[in-house]
Amino acid sequence: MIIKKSHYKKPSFHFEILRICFSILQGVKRKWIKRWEVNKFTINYGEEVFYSNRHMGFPSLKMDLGQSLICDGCKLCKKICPTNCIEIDLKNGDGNGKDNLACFSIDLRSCFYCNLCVSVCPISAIEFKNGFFSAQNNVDKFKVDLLERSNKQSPPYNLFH
Amino acid sequence: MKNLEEKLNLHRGGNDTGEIFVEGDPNSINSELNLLKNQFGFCYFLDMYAAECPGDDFDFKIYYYILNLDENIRIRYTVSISSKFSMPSVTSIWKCSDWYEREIHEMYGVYFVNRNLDRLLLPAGCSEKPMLNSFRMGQEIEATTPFGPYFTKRNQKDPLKNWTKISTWTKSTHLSFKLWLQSDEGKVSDSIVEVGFLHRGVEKLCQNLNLFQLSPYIQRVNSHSLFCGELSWLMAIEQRLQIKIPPKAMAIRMLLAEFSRIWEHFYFVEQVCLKLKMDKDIREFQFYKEYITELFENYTGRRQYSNVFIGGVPSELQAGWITSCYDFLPKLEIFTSKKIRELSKDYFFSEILRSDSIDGNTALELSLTGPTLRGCGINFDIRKSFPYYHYESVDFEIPLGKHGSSFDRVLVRLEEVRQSTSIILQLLDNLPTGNLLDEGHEIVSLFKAQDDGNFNALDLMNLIDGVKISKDVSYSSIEAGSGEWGIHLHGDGSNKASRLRISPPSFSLLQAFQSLVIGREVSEYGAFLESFGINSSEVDR
Ligand code: SF4
Ligand code: SF4
Repeated sequence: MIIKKSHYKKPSFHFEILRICFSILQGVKRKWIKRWEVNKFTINYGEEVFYSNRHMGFPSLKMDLGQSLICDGCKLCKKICPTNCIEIDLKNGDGNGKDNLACFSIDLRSCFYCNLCVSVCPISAIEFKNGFFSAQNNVDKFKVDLLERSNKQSPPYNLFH
Repeated sequence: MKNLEEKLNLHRGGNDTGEIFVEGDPNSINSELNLLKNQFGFCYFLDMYAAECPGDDFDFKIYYYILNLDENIRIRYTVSISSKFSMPSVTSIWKCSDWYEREIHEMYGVYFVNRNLDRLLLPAGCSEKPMLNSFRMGQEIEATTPFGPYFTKRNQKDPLKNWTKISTWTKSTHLSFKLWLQSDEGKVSDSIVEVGFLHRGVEKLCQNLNLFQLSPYIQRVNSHSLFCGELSWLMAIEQRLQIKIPPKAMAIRMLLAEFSRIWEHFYFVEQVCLKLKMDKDIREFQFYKEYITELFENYTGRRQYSNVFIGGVPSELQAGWITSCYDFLPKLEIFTSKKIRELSKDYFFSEILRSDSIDGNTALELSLTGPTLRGCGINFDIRKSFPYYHYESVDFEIPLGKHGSSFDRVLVRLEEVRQSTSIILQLLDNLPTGNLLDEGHEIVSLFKAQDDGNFNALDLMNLIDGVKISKDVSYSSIEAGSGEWGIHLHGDGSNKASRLRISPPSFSLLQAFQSLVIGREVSEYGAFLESFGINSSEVDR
């Protein structure tokens, strides 16, 4: 029995009344002091966003140093995805190799963010980057073309604007 | 019956799987189970479910899963029946088998005699049996009558007295169940719990997916926990595939599980405080919960549900993670001790919460689990009785309550937080070194980036399809925040589970709540409900 017996003692009613009076006095005192303090408002949202290093915001394709895609279209990630939301098309049939991708898109409506596609990729060509996917006014916008995003100069994952 | 005794003796003779298989006869099931309960001490009802057996002489198998609390032996009592057979009901032996039988009736169409089989999980008037193999995934269900037996029951029973509906959109029943209370001079005189609003069909889904793809689905069965259902599933599948995860991976999984337990305990104590309008305490609990979520995110990358996969853990602990744990845990310990002191000295808090009590017999009869069972003074914890991972080698104690009141449950939860804190500190002090994945097993090559580019995509592709589980049944369970979280895994030699039964704690807890709430003050049902730690998304199938 590691719960102490004293916790089971009933607190007395009179003590409770005293305690309540005391805490009211404390509250009054705090209020009195606070009168001269300047009111602080909440921080503007969106200015200070905290990411942990491993924050999983948004799937994207990795580039190597020469700014070309690492992915060679082996379709392992498509195979293991539980919701079947990855779509990969190759330029020349079933032969794989670099620069062979015609289309690589993820439907974020059904993505679990389960990280299975990332952990299964043998050459670490896909990863989760920081960032949030904001609300959209059209369902089609949830189907994100990663290929197109990775070609942009600006960071491909910043979807705030 | 001799057969049964022999089997039991055989087990005591050294076979220590902790589980005995007994084939029973459906006609004499009542007498045999009665004997098991009263003579052999198998008084705790864990689970009951059915499975279809294609290619056999029989249509269904029904599994009764019961436990002996003194010797920690489980029995899987199986009966094989044809679909025309009317099963005898066992509600006279275990009161808690009520909902389980209704579920089997709804999902498989097995008929139980001498009892009312009201609708439980499916829409009223639904004639389909969704768990049968003939029912396709995605097939539409037609509900003919808008009002089910609940509507008639409410009207017929006592038409003059009012029923109060406490429904999903009031804050009291978070998520998805409806509670109907009938009051008599301020006390609850009758209650109905309506469940089955989600209809995810998670068990059916799991039978249609590849083994690697299941963990995200099983994670989401429990929505108020960081990491529990997933751990249970990983243990089940690793046991079947004979993967031995390295000690470091075990320790990391234990860390995540203990943080998850603390989070859950704080969540439910916070909910009790919320029902009693104790705003200051809520803010404190929320602060500590938030910190735990951040620690969790720093390891896994997500605030809830980890990315741990079969065969180990994906990554090392981040630099600085252990230091921030060492900073945070003493504060957590001090806070919890302070909270225990404060709450037990609070006159109104203890006056309201001490008013009810559950004795041990009722608790066993209703098959309560977790802190709710331990609050009634019954010492049962999976971490002690069926230890997994490193729980045998860490030092911790199991807090027990005295009266089984809501107050006891809150105390037990907070005391368990202190114990978890000490477990985490011990683990961090003695963190093992070594691999993160079980290198000896073939399937790890799937989760290991081949840096040299030497891989054959076709091989890996075949590996995803090629992992098969044997034709066998196994059960594995963990101690989650609100009780025993178990998974029964049936295989048939293919790469899919032929039946995957999820048995979370909330199913029996919610059923127990329905009968235990009778006689309490209507105004205090909220705190009473929250102290059980029920998460209704686990209840729906
Ligand atoms: S991202 Fe990786 S797994 Fe997916 S197709 Fe490209 S190389 Fe293969
Ligand atoms: S995170 Fe999971 S659900 Fe999303 S694309 Fe990857 S594998 Fe599919």
